[in-house]
Amino acid sequence: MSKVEVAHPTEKRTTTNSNSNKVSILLRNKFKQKYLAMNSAFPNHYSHPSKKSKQKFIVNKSSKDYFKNDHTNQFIHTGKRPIENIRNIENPVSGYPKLQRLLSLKQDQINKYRSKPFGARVPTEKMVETIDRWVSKQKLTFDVIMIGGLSENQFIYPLLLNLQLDKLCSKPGFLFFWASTQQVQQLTRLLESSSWGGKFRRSEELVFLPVGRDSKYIPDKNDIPEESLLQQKQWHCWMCITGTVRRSTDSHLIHCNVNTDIIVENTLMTSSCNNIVPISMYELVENFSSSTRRLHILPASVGLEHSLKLRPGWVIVGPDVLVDNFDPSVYKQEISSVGSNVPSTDEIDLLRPKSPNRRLSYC
Amino acid sequence: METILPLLLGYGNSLLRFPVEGNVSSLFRLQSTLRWHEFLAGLIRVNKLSNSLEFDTDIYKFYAEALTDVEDQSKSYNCSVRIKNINCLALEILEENLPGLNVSTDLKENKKKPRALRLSNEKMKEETKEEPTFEICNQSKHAEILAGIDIDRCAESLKRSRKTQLLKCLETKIHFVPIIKSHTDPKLGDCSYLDTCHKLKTCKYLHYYQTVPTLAANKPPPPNSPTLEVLASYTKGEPISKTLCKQLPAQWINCDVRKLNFNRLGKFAAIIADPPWNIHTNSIESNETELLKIPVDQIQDEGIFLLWVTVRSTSIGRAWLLENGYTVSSELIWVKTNQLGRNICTGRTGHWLNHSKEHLLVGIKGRCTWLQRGLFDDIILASTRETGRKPDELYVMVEKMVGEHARKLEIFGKQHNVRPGWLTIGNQLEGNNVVEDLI
Repeated sequence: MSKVEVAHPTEKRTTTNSNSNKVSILLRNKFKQKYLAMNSAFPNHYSHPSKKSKQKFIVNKSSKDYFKNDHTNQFIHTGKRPIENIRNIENPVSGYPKLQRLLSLKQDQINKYRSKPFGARVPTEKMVETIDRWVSKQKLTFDVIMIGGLSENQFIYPLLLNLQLDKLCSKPGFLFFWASTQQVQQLTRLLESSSWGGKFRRSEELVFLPVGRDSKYIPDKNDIPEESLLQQKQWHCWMCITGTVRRSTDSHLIHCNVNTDIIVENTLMTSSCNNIVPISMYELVENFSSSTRRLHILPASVGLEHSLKLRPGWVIVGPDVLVDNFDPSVYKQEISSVGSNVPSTDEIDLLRPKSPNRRLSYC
Repeated sequence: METILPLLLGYGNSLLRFPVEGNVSSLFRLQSTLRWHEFLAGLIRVNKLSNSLEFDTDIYKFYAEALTDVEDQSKSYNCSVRIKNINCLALEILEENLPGLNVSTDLKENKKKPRALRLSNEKMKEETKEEPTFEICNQSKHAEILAGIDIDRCAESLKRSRKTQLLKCLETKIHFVPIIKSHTDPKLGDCSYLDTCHKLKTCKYLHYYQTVPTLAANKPPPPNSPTLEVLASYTKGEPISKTLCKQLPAQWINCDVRKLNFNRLGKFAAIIADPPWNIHTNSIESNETELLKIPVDQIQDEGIFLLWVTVRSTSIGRAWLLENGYTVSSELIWVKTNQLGRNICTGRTGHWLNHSKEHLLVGIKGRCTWLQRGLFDDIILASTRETGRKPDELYVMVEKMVGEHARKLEIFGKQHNVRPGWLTIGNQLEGNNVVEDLI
């Protein structure tokens, strides 16, 4: 009962509007009644003498009878967010030993063939200029380019429009582009713009879901709920492809269907690390493309809320990069010694999901 | 503290325009003339001067709650955003300075919520029957033990072997017990399809059956139906008296959506469409869908349009909504789970990555002052059913947003989509069932 008493003191003491005061008292009384009714209904059920000998659980063997939790209903009554109920947050592939083995083998192999971590500290206003120089003078290209992260300020339309991405990205190449729900419209415009020449095809839409009320990754925390229909709790990442790549024949370039298009915040990992891009996102990209030439562009400061760590195998460019050790000629040497692709092994090839044969003709 | 507070309150030094002595009585005398944050600032100041907590932290808690009451404050100041930020800051400072004060997470969540939303949340709680939910047991040992015994007589055998903990767990949590048959190879792990597997008799992968605490079977009696008083006290987007306005039964029309005369259907507050996108078409030009031909302006003046899209069709869907005068304010994600309550991670065919979610574009047209906003997150967590069948949770969410009595339409619906309060149209329905005159 004490719960009921504390739940609504605000309404009682601070309301000046008598009308809404009435409502809250009414609601509170109703809540009390219901609470009492339920409280009495539940224990009675258990303590009923005739039922004492009976089993207090039932066994459902047919899929028709399966009981399913209604998480929306649960949210209405307890405020527990649906996403918190997912059981494989800490280990997304639990229950699938083959997939677990594949993922660990792939990470071992990726760790064997990777460049050392590189960082290039470039202020926002020099970003376009620097990339231009890399493209025209140093003739640098990357196969994997990620842009932005879990922060709305990274999406600077005019800057992105002027990046020579089509020249920086080799063919075939893969682009991973972060945006919030509101920015998706602009992102569409960007991909269709003449300066990018429609060279990147949108191929998958990844979603990152923060877990927990106090997650550092909840987009725009100052959002006033009255202005949007739903409370925004998601980030989008578009995966775009340029050039031709076929999933059935190009297994030296890509391994398909290893990861899924959802990343749920792994609260175990993010409690200690609040990187601007979740580590599992880097892993997803590495699992998909075998290329060792990976670039991550962060056009703006990551701010105080997030940190920015270098990652082996990646060149990270942005105004907040702590280590400024990137030198195009050194990088080219490093890549030539590592190799431009992570080789597969027999066991990986055996374990990885493959396209069914009948689909061979279809891209 | 002294430097932060005036800054925080935006009043400069005039903040402490009342005399602050080492005791609180003077402060309380002034209480009626002060604003909440001024009063709080005074309290903190007094504590600073007297160097001790003079009162119960409960009092602070109460004032902290008062601070969270954003809407009342903003009315008197005509500057809601600033006040909201000030209040949030004040709360944080309060928490930092008074270690005894733990503003609960509920309160923190609430400080962002306008009063109207909080009322709506309470009302929604009142009017929705609570369904029992159970946790799923995460101890693999429990499943192992249960797999090895005769489940129908397990209560006795567990008592005999004194596994009372497991017995208690069975009474409170859901368990999934592996079905081991002669063709099962447990080392392979779970089946990708689990309960929806079509080859149960030969599939070597693990499948499960379920134990559920009895409460789920004998659901608790529904709480007394809401009284007229409660319903009349606070409404938004609903008829003033629900008792005079009965919810319509499920209605459906079997028809070719392309040829239907939409003019005769009337207007709708919410429309859901799950169009048959042609997923194997590569180019946008040739993707002629039935959706694009619907004269949506004939059936909706203002309201929401919810459109299920695939990776390929999301751009077409967005463009179509924009063309028809909608703003795409949100995108709802259905996170698909399997029988075991896990997010699906395998066995589903996406082209490059496995697909374990679906997207629903949410378009809004008009001002829609009657619309209940911010009630839910933009996520539905629900398990998969037949191919293409979407979760029923969406209907509940839409009904809460536009009101149960508002007219709602589903286009390209099937028989399993019909539902009280909704009109369903599509070419896979069994006959027609229409009760409204106008059609």
